[in-house]
This record gives sequence, structure tokens and C-alpha cells, in this order.
Amino acid sequence: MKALDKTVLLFELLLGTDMARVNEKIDQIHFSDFYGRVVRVVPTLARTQLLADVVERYHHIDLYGILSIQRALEVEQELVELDRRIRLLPTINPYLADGGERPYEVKTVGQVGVEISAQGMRFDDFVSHQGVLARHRNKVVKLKAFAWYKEAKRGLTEMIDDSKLMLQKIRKAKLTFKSLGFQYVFTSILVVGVVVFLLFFPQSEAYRLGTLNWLPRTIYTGIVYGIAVCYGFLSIAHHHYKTYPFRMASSLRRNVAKQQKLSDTLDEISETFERQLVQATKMPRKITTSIHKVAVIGEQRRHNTSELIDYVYSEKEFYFERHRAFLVLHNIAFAGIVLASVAIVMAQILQLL
Amino acid sequence: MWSLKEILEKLETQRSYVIDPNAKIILTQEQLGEALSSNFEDAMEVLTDGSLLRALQAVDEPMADKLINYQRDFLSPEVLLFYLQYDLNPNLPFSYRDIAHREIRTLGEAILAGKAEKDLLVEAMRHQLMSFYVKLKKIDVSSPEIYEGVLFTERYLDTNADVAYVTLGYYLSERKFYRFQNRRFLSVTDFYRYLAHRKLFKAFARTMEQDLLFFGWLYYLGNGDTVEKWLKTVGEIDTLTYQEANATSTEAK
Repeated sequence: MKALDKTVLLFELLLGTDMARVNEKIDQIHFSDFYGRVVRVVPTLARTQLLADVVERYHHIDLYGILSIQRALEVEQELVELDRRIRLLPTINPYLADGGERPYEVKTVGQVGVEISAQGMRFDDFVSHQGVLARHRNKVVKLKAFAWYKEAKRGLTEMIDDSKLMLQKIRKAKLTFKSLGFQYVFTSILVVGVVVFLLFFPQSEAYRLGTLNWLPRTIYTGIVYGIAVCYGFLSIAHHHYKTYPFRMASSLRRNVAKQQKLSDTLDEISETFERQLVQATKMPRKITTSIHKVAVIGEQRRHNTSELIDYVYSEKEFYFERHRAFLVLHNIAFAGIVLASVAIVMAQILQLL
Repeated sequence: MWSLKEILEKLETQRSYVIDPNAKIILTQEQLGEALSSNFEDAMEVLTDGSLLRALQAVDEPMADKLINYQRDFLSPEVLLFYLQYDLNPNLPFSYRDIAHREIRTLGEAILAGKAEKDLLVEAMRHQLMSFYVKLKKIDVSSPEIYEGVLFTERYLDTNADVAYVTLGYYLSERKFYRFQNRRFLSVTDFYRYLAHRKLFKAFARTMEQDLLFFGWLYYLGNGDTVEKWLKTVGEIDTLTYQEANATSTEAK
């Protein structure tokens, strides 16, 4: 038997099904889909007690972490111990304590990432440390960390861009109330028309000289005073709405400033993080801290952005809601002026006839 | 500086571990054990001429009884000395004949580096002295896998002494990797992938059968049964090939 055949035979006997398993594991290297829900990273899950706390509170938090190899192995051991304890005392099983039926499971082979979410605790299934050299694992971890970082940074950059766009929109916003503006202009023209008509048109001479009969004279006078009152009201309402964008912008100013400051801070931290990640080959533990920072800031920023967006887009609606009665009065006044104007014109036409 | 023989004579004369009352020089069991351990030639001489037994009978009756029991069990003088030195001083490093190793880890490394005294160590393994020493140092409690490994290598000695010796090195040093072309491999899978990726299979195949470190590594990783199966299969195939070749040549004639 040739030496090569012997060697191949030996490796076939040694590896056999193992090779298939290893390949399968390599194919399964992927990241969790929960980047967007990152709230907290766990760089310090070194103590069982702390981890137990986390597990107990898992219903309320989404938690995702990328750990260094050493830390992952430590956490793995902690989890194994925790799992053992939980199995010994089923009553402290967080899944069973609330009456849930989902079993609590800890996978224990070669994990690097650990995730505790509403779906339960889960590890990133990773190349087993039994199958890959330590330095290869480190390399893969770094690659994964880079991939995670790029993903996270892209998300954060998009958020920054969105925020900047939103701020730009706010600055350039012309929050006019088109129907109110039209009403005011139209009403002004009508009022001017009625006044001109009463003062200068020959048809109004009898009214100006006081020779008109008492009934039309009373009607004319009532109309003039009514128009004056309504126009005054309209003027006030129009002014109120016209200055609304300025007042809203003023109230937003503080939030806008905060938002901008947060964007700048995030940019700065992103740069720092990127620099640290470049050096990560020497300082793999730095990765966790940096990801933690970016994740937390990203989440904070997402929260603030969301609040601001809600504020901007709902303020107008709230304003209308609060001043609904005022708007009704405004529309009544508008309708009154229009009707009065029409009445004067109609009266003149009838008088001529 | 007294020689071992002089010390034993003083013990016999004084009938006490106080070998020089004037100078207040007191010998201890541990020191006697150390003296036996560090002077193998002298120790063999005092054992052969009976002066060691006489001295022990004079100062340490229980130890003398142990020596008599060892001699009654027909132990070879070297093995007898090995056991006796640890009876006197359990803190001694591993010492057989004229070799001594303070740490079993460094002994394991020396074995793997080919710098250890192979013949003497194989002889010690044959007498189960290595497992005795490991147990004496309570390594069977702190690291049971090392103790089990040492027992395995001592048993495997009759099957293949070379592989057993190298495997002992892996167990003692707890070295988990196999070095090939200045690279360290922790698993067979990884090593296989490396060979396949670099197309080094042929090159490795040429030297594999002579590569004791490789086979020792496989045994250490727990692939002993697979290697045995492989050896058996290869043997069967070789036999069949040989028979086939013989049959063909007979037919040709």
C-alpha cells in the first residue's frame, strides 16, 4: 500500500463525519439580525450572579454582545454553571417562573457572541474551538467584529443623515396655513370693496347723505359694523396663525441644538471607534467597549430622533386640535363677511331695479 | 564532605540520625533519601554490600523492614532504590538511576524534543515507575487525565514502545498541538485542512509513518482506537496485496 493511500485512509478514518460537521459550522457563520435592536453590550458578563440577574430581567431587555475569545470562553463557562444551577433548581428558571413553557437552553460549543432577547438566550453558533486554531478563531472574531461595526456604523450614518435632512427641513419649513391665508386675503379684498362702494359709488349716495329709508339704512349700518368686527377678528386670527411657525421653531430650537450636538458627538465617537477597531488586532478587548459605546449612543440617538420627528410632525395637528373653537369662529366670521358683502351688492341691485 | 558510605557508617556507629554529636550534625530521612537519589553509583554500592541495610537497621527499623520487603519481592536494585528514595523523601523530583527531572512538564517537553534519556525512561515505564511517581505527587488527583494517560502509555509499551514513549511526552507536557512546518495544529481537522489547502499531502505522506510525534499526538487526542483500526486495515490490505502478488507471480511461472 502506497504511503499516500495510507495517509488518506488514516485521515478518512480520523475525520470522516467530522469534516462534514466542520464545513457545516463554517457555513453557519453569520451575525444576528438584531443589530437594530442593540441596547446593551455585555463586556462584563464575568460573574454568574450578574448573568443570572440579566437572565432574570431578560424579558425587559434586548441584549447583544460580541466578546473577545477569552471573554466568550469565560462567559461560556459561566453559562454552563448557570445552566447547571437552573437545572438543579427549576423554580428559578426564568422561562418557567412566569408560567411559560419554553425550555431554557444553553449551547456550549465554541460560542463567541451571546444574545439574550425576548426570543430567549442564544449564542452565535461559531466554529468550534476544537476545530480551529486559536489564532484562526481570533481572526474570524475580528472579521465578525469588523462586519458588525460596518453594519452598525452604516445604520448610525443613515440615522445621522436622516436627522440632518430633518433639521434642514425644519429650518426651511414654511408652515403656512393655506386656507386661512386665502380667507384672509379674500376677506380683505371684500372689506376694501365694501368700503370703497359705500364711500365713493354713486349708488351709495343716498346712504352717505342720510336720505335712505330707515330699514335699508339700518341694514347697511349693521352690515358695516359686522364687517368691521369680523375683519378685526380675522386679522387677529390670521396674525396668530401667521406667527405660528416662528413660535414652533422657537420651541424646537433647544431640541434642534441638542440633536445637532448629538450628531457631532456620534461622528466623533465613530471616528474614535474606527481607529480603535483598526488597532483591534492588538487590542481585541477594546472592540467590546467601543461597540458598547456606539450601540448605546446609537440607541439613545435613535430614541431622540424619533421623539423629535414625532414632535415636529404632530405639533401642527395638536395646534389645530387645541384651537378648534377658534377656527370655527374664524370660519363663521369669514362666512359673515362674505354674506354681508353679497347682501350689500344684492340690496343695491334691488334698489336700482 | 562525607561520602554516602561514610555517612552510613556513622549512622551505624552512632545508631542515631545524630551522626556527629560534637558538631551537632543531625541527618534526616529526607537527606538520606536525597543522598541515595543524587549518588546512584554509590547508592548501588551501599545497597550491594549491605551497608545501607545495616545503617537503616541501626537507626530506622521501619525503613529497614521496607528494604527487606523490597528485596524479598525480587525487585531489581535500581527499582528498589527508586521506591526506597521516595519512602525516605517523598518530595524528591523524578529520579531514576542517574537521571533526574524536577518537573514532569519539562520532562514531557524533553521527551517531545528528543532530549530525554529514552532508554532509561522506557525502562522506568516498563516497571510502572512513572505512574507511581505521578501518583506519589498526587497528580492523579489534580490532573486525573495525566495519570490515566501515563497508565495508558505504560500499558501500550508492549504494543509500540516508541509511540508510547512519545505519547507519554504529550501527556506529561500537556501539549495539545502538533507542530508541522513551524505551525501548530490543535486538531486533526485543522491539520487536514492545512495539508489539503497547501497541497502537502504527498510530502506529509512520505514521512508520516516515521513521524512518532504525529502518532503520539493522535493518541493524546484520543484517536488511539482509530489509529489501531488504521494499522489493522493497512496490515490486511498489505497482506491481501502480497498474497495477490504471489498468486500472480505463481500463475506467471
